[in-house]
Amino acid sequence: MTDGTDMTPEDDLLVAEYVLGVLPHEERVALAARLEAEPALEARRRFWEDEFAPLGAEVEPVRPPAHVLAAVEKRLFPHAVQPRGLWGSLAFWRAATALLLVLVVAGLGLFSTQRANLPVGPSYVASLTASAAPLQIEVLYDAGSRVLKLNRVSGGPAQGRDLQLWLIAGNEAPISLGVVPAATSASLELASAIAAKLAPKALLAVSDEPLGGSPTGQPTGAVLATAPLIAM
Amino acid sequence: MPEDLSTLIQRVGLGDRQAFRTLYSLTSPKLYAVCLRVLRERSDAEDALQEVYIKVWHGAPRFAVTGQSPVSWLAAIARNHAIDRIRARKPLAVAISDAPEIPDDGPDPERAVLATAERRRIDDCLSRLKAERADAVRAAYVDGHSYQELAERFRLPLNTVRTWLRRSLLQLRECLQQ
Repeated sequence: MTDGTDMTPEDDLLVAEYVLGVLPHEERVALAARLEAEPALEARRRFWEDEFAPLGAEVEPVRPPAHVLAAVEKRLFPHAVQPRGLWGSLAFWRAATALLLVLVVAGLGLFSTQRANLPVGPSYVASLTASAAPLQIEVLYDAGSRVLKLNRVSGGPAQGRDLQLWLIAGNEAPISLGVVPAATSASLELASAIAAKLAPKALLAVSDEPLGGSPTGQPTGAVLATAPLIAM
Repeated sequence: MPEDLSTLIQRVGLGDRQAFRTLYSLTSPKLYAVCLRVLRERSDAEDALQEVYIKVWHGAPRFAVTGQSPVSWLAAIARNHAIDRIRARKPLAVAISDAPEIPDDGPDPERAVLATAERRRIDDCLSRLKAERADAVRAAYVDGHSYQELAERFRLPLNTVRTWLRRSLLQLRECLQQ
């Protein structure tokens, strides 16, 4: 198959033992060094890994505690402006804000509304787009009415599941904003205590949950998308 | 969703932190379980998981050139790290008989159906080995057992275990490459 000419059957067995994980420490370290240096061996490592990988199907997933991700991000992005280290490029978000504003304002027919009648408090937009599923939800928060309008552009919950919307403010635990209604566009009125936590650096997140929402009050399923609130 | 995971890993390779977070939320339960299975202690598995995702971040730029499936690429990072971590310790810090009970994970019927399609080739090939030898291969892969641990588990001398496991690997290679 991908055997290099310089590779003996003995070497191939050693790679299989390495991938399986049975070798003692010293032999593992020695082989790891050879893998770095010898492409033929490295090709065999990938062969064995791909072949054995299906055996891992029997390991039941276990959700790790939240502090692990926080620790990883702190180590990888120590200088992030934002503790959650989520910002991509600022220019991107500026452009996205401008575009969303146009779409949202047009969508809500606000063009006809007098500027003077708009509420004074900060309002926000956010665009929740899942990377691993065809899910996109545009969110508009109107500070005056404390109403969060959700417009589900594409995607939806899996069969027998619900989508749940969360607010992540600073380092606090996620706060549930409720289950995403089945209708493609819907409104949720926020309690004033929750509305007070909306801030330009807060994040919205959508997670996959059992019907009716998370039984624990915290996300229990996969977080499908997160997006920062963008002040309008 | 293999294609989606590939795309995510490639975005992580370009330094996309949001993609990293999404990748983490999608894959960490599996990789944590892999670490937990090998290391057996939660705090140890949590530390290992941190290191695994640091490696994922740094390794992602090279992912595309490996041509590997994203699942096996990620699983290999987690398994290799967990196994290196446990092997680097004093040998057999936890004797097999003292190891905490690992829950019985006999697949339920629904999962078994799902699993069958995915793992037919390796299963076919394992089924051609003697049952005990196939079990040893699975135990090594899933629980991260060393030769020493396998020897204890199967109550055989170390060298005997190594000899018959290597023989099993030769048979597997022949079968897998057909």
